[in-house]
Amino acid sequence: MDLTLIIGLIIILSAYGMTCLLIIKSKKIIEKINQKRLNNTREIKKELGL
Amino acid sequence: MKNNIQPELSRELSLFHLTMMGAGMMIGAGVFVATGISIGVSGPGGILITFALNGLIALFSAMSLAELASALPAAGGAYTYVQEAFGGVIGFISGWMNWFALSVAGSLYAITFSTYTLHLLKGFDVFSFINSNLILYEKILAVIIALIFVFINYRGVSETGGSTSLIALGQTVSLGVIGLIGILVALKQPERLTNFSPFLNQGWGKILVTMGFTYVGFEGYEVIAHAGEEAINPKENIPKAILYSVIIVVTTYILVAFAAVIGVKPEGMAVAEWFRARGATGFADSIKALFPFGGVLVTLAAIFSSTSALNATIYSAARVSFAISRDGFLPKVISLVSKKRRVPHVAFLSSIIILFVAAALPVEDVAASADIMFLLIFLLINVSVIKIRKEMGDELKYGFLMPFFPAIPLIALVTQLMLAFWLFDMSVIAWFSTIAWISVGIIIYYTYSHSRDKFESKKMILEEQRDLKSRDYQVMVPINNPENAEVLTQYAEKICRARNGEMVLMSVVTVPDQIPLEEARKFVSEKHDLIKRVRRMINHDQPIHSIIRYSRSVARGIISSVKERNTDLIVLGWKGYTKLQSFVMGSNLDRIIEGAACDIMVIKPGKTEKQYENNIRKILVPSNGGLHSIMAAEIAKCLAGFYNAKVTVLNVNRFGKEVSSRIQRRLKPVLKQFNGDDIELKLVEGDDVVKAILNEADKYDLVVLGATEEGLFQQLLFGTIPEKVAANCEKTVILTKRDLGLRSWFKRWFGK
Repeated sequence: MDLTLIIGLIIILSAYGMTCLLIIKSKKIIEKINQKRLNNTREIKKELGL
Repeated sequence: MKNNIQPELSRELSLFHLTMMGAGMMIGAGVFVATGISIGVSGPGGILITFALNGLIALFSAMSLAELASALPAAGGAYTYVQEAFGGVIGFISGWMNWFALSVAGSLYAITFSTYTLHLLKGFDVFSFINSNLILYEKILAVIIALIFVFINYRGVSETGGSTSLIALGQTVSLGVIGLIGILVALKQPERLTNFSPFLNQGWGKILVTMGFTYVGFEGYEVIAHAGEEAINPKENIPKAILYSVIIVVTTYILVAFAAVIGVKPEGMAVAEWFRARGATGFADSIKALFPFGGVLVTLAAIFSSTSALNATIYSAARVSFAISRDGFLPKVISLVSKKRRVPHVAFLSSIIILFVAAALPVEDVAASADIMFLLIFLLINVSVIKIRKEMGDELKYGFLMPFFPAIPLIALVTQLMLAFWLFDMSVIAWFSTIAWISVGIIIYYTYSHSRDKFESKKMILEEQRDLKSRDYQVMVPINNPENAEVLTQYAEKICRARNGEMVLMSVVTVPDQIPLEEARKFVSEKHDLIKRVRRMINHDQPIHSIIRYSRSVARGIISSVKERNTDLIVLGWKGYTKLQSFVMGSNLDRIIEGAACDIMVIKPGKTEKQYENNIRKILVPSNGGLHSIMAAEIAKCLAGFYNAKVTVLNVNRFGKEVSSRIQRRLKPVLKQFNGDDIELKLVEGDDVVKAILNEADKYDLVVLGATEEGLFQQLLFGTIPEKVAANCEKTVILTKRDLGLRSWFKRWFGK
């Protein structure tokens, strides 16, 4: 297999994987903020450790 | 009695509706035209990399938009967020670019519609005449379809969220099916995978070009932010929908691009060349070759997608130009609302002019122009999210806070700038038209809009009294609290005298979000009386100015005043405790100390303040060296000169480990401030620094203490020791913090 193909596949998989991971992490943040009824940045950062 | 009940739209849009609205807007955009062209430029593997990376960059910006939309759900849209963050010319230009980008994107969708419709029709004998002058017929049909949708919007007939989401679901499912068929074909006929060789057509550099070129297909999630007032549970559903729409679209695009490459039977030709020869219709031709009726399916999907996106874009473009005009930046005529139809009819007409001009250009230039504008707008969104979180983060109620902040918006804005720059390679005309449009916008702003800028008047000065004299050094005293107003002014006056400065007494009238800012005038009289009372106590040798301004929050009002007036020193008061757990000294005080770009002095009046206020004989300056301690020494010197008091510089040697010569060397810059005055240096030993200072403080009338030195990215107010001393000391304590220029600026922006 040529190197361009391997590097290309690595880029595609890691970019797509990172997109999925960030969305999952963001979803959790949204739900926690909503569940715990957090408001401003201070409260959210303190509670969620962002 | 005035009726203050505001009409509200019914909340009907669920998470599903919102997600599909965003996905539909994105899919309607680039994929049908841009996929084929992009494979021709960057090759079969290049398109997959392009979509995967663009998805990630789009997600970064989507996270910024989701955060802003969750915090400001009623505002909606890029223009309003940038306007909220920057106002002035940047706010105007963002709206001006957004208007252009949406109108140009509208013409791209009209061209997509005409290209695919004619591609379908030319197969029938009765329409064979189309082949004689295909480009001309494409342009004519594009203009006709655009006119039809302008008329539909003018009639006030627009799709509801429900039907839009159903159409979007249909598009997504159709494309998803095409993608899955592509995978099945590849599994059945693995030899077709050789279509991916060579993987890249013209090297890695071309991927940046196609990333910029296809970006228009990743920006449509902005439409979700517009639906804040109609969404069910907007704080949770809007950010979720923005993020979900991105993953749906990225997955669909990657699958469809894979299918497009698999579908081709190049017959001795490189796949990229095959697509290059077919241009905008290359995608449809390859799907036609993938499975029976593939061509018809993709053509119908393209026609539905482009019309749905065209409708939404014409509506959004008109809405943006209407908003700019309503804000006073463009002639009022654009924001006129038809009495009969209740739609901004002139705004529709003005958008259509840009749409027609764009339709006359080649499709590559049209797409590239929209791409550049959207890239620049999202760049501004990424800057705005940082600015708004820094300046208003404590006031707004967020439904979503992005992780890895500020790295994500910073990476996004750098990448977007890079992609926009690389599009020069794709279309020189697009860059020239972008520069020309921005230049015209700047000229319009400074010749017309600037004087009418409602947001400029957001400085919101209700009343201002300027002394005839003025001085270079300025001390600002916010006197919102009548209880400490007198004490703050007394100390500020002494510093003004010692430094030959002027004093600004300022008071902020806060107006809650639900009440129009104009209502603030009703509360001026009470602030006016307080300022008058304080003025009477001050010796009038010094110039004294006073301002009353209104703001949504006390902290923001004070920080803005400091910035606008280039204040040198701000004098604040603290009661010595806070009831709010999330804050160190108090919600307003914390924000001001973190955000004000000037020297800061916080006074905590002691229990004995009244007894000593005009009879301070002994001042204690606890110090361990450092720039903030030097400021404490300067303040102590000013006050000592005025009261004829004696100053003692105190150092607590923890565990007695440090040799006194070393301590003296460290305190030398602090001692130097007193310039040979009669001062005492006292070195004490103790394990508990706070306790040692408090013990000594009992013997003095006033304690002046500098903030502790912090690391560049630590966001402390004054440090634990000064804060504990101030909270527990019975004598009056003055805390000082010097503005360290660039270091303070870095802390303000990136320290949290």
